[in-house]
Amino acid sequence: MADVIGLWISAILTIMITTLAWKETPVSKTAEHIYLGVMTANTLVQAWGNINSVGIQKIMSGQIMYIIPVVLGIMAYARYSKENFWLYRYPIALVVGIGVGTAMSGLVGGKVLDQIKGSFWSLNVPGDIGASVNNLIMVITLVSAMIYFIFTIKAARGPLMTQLSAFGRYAMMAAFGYSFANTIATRINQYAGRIAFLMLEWLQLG
Amino acid sequence: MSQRTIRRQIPLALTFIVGMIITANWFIDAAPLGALSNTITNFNTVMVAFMMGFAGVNILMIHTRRIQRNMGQGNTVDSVYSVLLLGTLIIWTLLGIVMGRSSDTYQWLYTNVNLPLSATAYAATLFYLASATYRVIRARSTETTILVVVSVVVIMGNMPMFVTYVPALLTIKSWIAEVVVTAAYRAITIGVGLGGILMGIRTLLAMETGFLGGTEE
Amino acid sequence: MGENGGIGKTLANLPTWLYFGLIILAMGYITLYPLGFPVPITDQTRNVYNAIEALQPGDIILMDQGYGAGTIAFHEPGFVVVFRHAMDKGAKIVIVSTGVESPMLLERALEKIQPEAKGYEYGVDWVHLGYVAGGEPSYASILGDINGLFTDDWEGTSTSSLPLMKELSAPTNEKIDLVYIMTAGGDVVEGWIRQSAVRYDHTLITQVNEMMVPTILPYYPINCDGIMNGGVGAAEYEVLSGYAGEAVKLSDMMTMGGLVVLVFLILGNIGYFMTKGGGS
Repeated sequence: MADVIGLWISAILTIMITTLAWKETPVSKTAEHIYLGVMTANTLVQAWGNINSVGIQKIMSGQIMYIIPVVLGIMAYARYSKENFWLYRYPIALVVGIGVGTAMSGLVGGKVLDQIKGSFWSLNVPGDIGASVNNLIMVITLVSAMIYFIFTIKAARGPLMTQLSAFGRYAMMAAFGYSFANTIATRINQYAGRIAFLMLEWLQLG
Repeated sequence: MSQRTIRRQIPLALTFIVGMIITANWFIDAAPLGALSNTITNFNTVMVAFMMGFAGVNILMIHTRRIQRNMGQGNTVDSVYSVLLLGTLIIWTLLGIVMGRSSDTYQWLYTNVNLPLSATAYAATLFYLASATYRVIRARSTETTILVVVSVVVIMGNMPMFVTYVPALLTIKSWIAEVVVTAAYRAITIGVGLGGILMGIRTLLAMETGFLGGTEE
Repeated sequence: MGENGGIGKTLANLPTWLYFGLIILAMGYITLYPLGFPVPITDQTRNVYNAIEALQPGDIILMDQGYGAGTIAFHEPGFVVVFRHAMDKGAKIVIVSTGVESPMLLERALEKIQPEAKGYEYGVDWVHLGYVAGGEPSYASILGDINGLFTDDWEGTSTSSLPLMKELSAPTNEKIDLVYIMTAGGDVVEGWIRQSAVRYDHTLITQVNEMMVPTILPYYPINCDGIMNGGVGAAEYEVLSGYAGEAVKLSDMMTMGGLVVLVFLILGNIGYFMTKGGGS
């Protein structure tokens, strides 16, 4: 019985929020507000779960130092006070420092060094002219796309550099075309799931 | 200790210290440093979890004000939506915390309310995308012509129906991905990486302080 | 051009309800009467398959089941088929969630997988640790000392009582053989690439939605060993593994929906060219 009720609630909410794409009506606004309420609530529930398991449970099991992040987390709410706003700076400073320290170390390797190392493609692959041509195209595309983003060096404005920059722009448009086609595929797949739910699970047509 | 020291310089110093501990742990393989770094990142989990509560507080503040304003103007209809939102938020949160996020009841509520709303809200953007595709994507210039042509080829390459009759579409799609897209996005990735490293260094050295917020020094 | 202005203008200004309705009708029709076209396999998905196929019994996979309800249509079939394949190989599975909705979605997927029915014992062969906040620093925590971060699993059972968690004592990264990321967020994959593949040289495979694939391609195959391309990739994996599932059915719906969008893209451009420079 609970499953049947749940199925009907799901179907009705699905149809209600689909109407938002058509135009804004009381039906779609109702669904929109319920959506915002339940999604925010879920975020709060999950956040509480983490505070409890990683913070409070650890304190109660004897790891007293976990009082520090709990106190700092409570201090974060000082952002809503004009007089005590400065208290918020302590937790946010730590969060930013931790985030920057974690990400920056990996950026050097992952986003720069490994990417550059991986871009030394062989321009003469023995016995495979296709791969050699592909690698040449990749090198030219990579270099010209990077030249496109150089705005501050005068030498990058010369005739050869301008041509390379134009080629880089065209290559990036091709890449964005690929990205756009994939975005369409993503959205279609997402909606396909909803149509499959309505027709096969709710209406049981298939 | 001056107010400026307590309210600004100590937080910036803390940013530098924890950032350097975590960065040092990446390059120095020492057990005590690793343990300290793990503890700091665990602390981060708790602090970020607290900050996730800002979403609830902001919604409470905005919609409470909206209710007061609407009621003051005699506009009860718009207030109903805000009341619905706040009521849903409070009841759902209490249910999740009291019954437990892994309870069958909360799972049922999530599956039959959150899931269809969330899934459909994302999925409904297909219609906006289809509308934009039809009305806006035009081959007006060389650049947009390239975009349109590549989009058409890749859309066809994503469809098994077309690939069955024209297998070359899959080859072309794969070539575009592995040659053109990889190279072009790699250039962007390297640029973003360099920019990210510079911003990180500036943040740790207190040259970027926007994250502190507030207007007083 | 002015003579074709009428037809061109019509083509460039078709009513909204027409293409909205056609998309829904086309996809609805195919749901009931699938076309059954074969799904072609790409190298990116084949590499994901090969990474799982190369696992030995007892190897440990760390899965970040980080997708939300928005991408459940293809992430769930992808997760189900990879989990089944991993069970066939006898690998042990540790699941964490970096999305707030993910742990509840896992319960749905597990009803389809039914690991206990296949002889997989919870706590010994697989564990579900639940949601963890914090982003990339939490990935570093997980790979540094997972038991230091998670004291309980998703159901509230103490991790110290779970045999699999004892195998993951610090440094946890040395005990992990494969990292598998399912997410709609490119920043999540990049974070895991930095903390796992770059730092510890783990084998890393991922399933992302199609529109995030271009941002991950620069890492393939340098740091990322395989990419499952959304619903298309999940369908390819189902074909490769022999576990027919929902993704293959979705691929037909993808075909019809994409066909409608493609037709209107072309019609819009034809209408534009017919009216361009020909006056209103």
